[in-house]
Amino acid sequence: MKLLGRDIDAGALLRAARERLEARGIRDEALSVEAEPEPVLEPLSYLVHALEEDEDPTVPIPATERGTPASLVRRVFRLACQSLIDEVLERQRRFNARVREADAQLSAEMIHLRARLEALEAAQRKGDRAALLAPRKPRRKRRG
Amino acid sequence: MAVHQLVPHFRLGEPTAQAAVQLRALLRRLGQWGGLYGASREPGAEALVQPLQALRVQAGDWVLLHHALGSRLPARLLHTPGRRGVVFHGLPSLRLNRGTPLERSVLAGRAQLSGMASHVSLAIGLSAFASSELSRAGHREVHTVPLFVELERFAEGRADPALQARLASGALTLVSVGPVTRETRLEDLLALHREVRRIRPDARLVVAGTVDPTLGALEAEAVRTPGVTMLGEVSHGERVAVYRSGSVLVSMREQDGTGMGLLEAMASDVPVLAYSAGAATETLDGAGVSFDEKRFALLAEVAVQLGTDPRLRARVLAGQRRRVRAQGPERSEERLAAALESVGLGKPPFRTRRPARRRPRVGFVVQRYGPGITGGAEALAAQVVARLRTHWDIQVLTSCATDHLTWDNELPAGESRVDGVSVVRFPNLRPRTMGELNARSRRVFGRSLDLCEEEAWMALQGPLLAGLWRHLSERGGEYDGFVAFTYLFVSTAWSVPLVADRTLLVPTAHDEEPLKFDAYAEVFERPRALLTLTPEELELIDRRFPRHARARVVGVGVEPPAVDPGRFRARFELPGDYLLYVGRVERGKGIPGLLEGYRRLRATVPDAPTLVLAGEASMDVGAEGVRMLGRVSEADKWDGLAGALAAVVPSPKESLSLLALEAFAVGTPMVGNAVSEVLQGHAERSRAGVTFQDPASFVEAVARVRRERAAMARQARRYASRYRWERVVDAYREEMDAMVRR
Repeated sequence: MKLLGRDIDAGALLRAARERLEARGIRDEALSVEAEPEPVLEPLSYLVHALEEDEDPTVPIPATERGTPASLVRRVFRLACQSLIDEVLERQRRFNARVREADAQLSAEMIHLRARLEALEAAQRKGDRAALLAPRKPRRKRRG
Repeated sequence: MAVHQLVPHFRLGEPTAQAAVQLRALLRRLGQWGGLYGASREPGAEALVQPLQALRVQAGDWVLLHHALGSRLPARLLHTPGRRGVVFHGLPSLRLNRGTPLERSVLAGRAQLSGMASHVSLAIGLSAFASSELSRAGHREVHTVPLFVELERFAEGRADPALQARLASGALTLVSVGPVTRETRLEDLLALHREVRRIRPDARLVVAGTVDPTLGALEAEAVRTPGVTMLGEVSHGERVAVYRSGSVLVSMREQDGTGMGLLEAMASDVPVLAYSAGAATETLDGAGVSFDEKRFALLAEVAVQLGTDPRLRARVLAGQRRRVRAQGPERSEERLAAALESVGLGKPPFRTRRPARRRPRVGFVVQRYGPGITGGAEALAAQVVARLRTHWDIQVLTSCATDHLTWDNELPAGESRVDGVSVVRFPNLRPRTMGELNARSRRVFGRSLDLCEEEAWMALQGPLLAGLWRHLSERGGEYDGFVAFTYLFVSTAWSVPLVADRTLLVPTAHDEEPLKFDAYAEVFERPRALLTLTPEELELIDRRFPRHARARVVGVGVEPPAVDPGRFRARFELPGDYLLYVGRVERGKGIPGLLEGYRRLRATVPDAPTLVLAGEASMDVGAEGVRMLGRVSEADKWDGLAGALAAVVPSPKESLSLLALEAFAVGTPMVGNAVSEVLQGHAERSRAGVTFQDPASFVEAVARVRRERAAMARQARRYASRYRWERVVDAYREEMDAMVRR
């Protein structure tokens, strides 16, 4: 472990702390902390996945997302009435599926076009640079 | 051009709200105006933050979105016209929230952050750490604008005394302040606390901040742990009390977007021991003590040493103080200016050098203006305008209101002329209800507040003249200078910073609760000069804002017309002696105290003079011997003052008391409220006035005036002869010329 601080003698402070710890007969252990960087998400793909996860309105929200455990009454209600819920929400389910399909198509198209545009722009930049670097033809001197 | 800010949910005291209010204060200093808009607002912030539906983006405006978890505003931003930007505070960590109800919101928030990248032209990270996240998410024009803390707000005197007394103890105390989320790592704080107690069995851990409801089990464990105090949500004063009760501030946070908590701790003189993650390292910048591994037993030894070794503690605190001073508002202002300039949003240009022979173009900023508008500062502004209009090309910038209680837009907005002077009126955004203001005042006065709470009160006080602020921001450069009246009203308080280096402020300050707000510091510190009315007003400003701008006692002129006291007596059928009050008849002016004194006078003196009250009444004044005249003309006022036994000035809060000076000018003594230092000063210097502090001394004062009236009348005239408009006009012109020549 390193101690940092402009106004302290970090080495001495740490040494003294270790000595006291040893005198007390304690071995210190470090808690491992994952240094995983936070993810960067492609928003269009993320939204397609998110739509997919929430596509079916007949399925309950997972307990981990709800935060609180489902009450017994709710669970009994769902067991008893699942077929009714499915029937009532069937149209919504189909609609959601089509919205997700459409979004997936459009997003894929958009990502493809963006990549193509970037490639074309890169090629154009390369072409421009090549044109700049190419040796120029000497101008002809005008007669007379 | 305005720079608006969108906040998903505005709650006073929360970091996002604090950041938005701080950024707006910095924008004002840079000459830029913009509104705050919230998708939702909590009580107390209604005047400070407009609803999202009220946002009207004009050509050239900028809209900055404060990105936060669970916000619907990114989609809104993408379809908002104008130029767009994002302000990033940081998002909760996905790693720490896997499998929790927040996981999908965190993912959505990160996807939104990336999604905005190609649609915004400016990205502001509130720390270098937040900026690096913005860059990773694909944002291009990324700038770091760190937030700041105002040292005064964390001084010893700002701590809540009740909580400070409760927390007072000789035991080693570790403190943690701020919302308790998964990133706070409460479990690590508890682990450290347990290790510390193995060395110091009486050691305590105080945790202040709302606990994330999904951390119920951890909170319960903390509550059960010996020596741990969970305080929950705390006010600003309580926050300072917690910091200042601590031996060491410990931060185990693994994702800190702004480092504000560490800055606050450093400003509160508590040594900091922080895990170097997120914005912690850059915030400390070598101050305090940071560590890179969580070895609790070893850290416990360090914490005990830091909390108990006086020499180590003193060295660390000295370094922390240096660090907080270096991270002041000026640094944030510089960084914001650089960010704005990078997108072509530099400080608005000032008027170029004017032709030598042309009269200076001067804007007068005042809360109300026009014929029939009563009020000391408003009347003063009108008199100054009348006397300077031949020297300056004046334009009055004011509200559409005639009523200072409601600020209702009664007069048409736009340009008109009043007595030959151009007047531009701007509508008030939100009518004021006194019930709401009084209730809020009761909640905040006498308490230690943060910038957000103070600005919320100022906005509630009004008038909210967004049009005026936009005008100053966009067209302020067309004026050579400004004269702004009355520091108290937000119309002036938020105007002054926009054009501070060309503004003369006439503060009309008196000793009142809002003067204790640090938010007013920029109004007194940033203008070119302060023009006060009395030496007492200047002394008050000296005490409250020692770093105030250069100040000069200018006063006013008092020139009475020819008077005929008999005309007043005949008109209002007043045959005997009378005491006269002229002004608004309301509680704030000390009328209840006057009536109490007068009742005592009637009860003890058989031939007590009549008490005559002239002015608009907003309270019941029916009592024996009291005559209520309503509003009277200027001629009647002067005639009445000339014939009065004395003018009574019951207001405890006066910055000048024009009434007393006008009475002196016609040889009438004054009976004034002793609480007002200004009235005391007039009475002592003139020897033509007597002050009272209770009913008994009121009776005494009237008796003395009766005995010595002739001598007092001579002294009154002599004193009033100092107050000549000629001198006042010269002073205003000198100050303006100095500014214009610059």
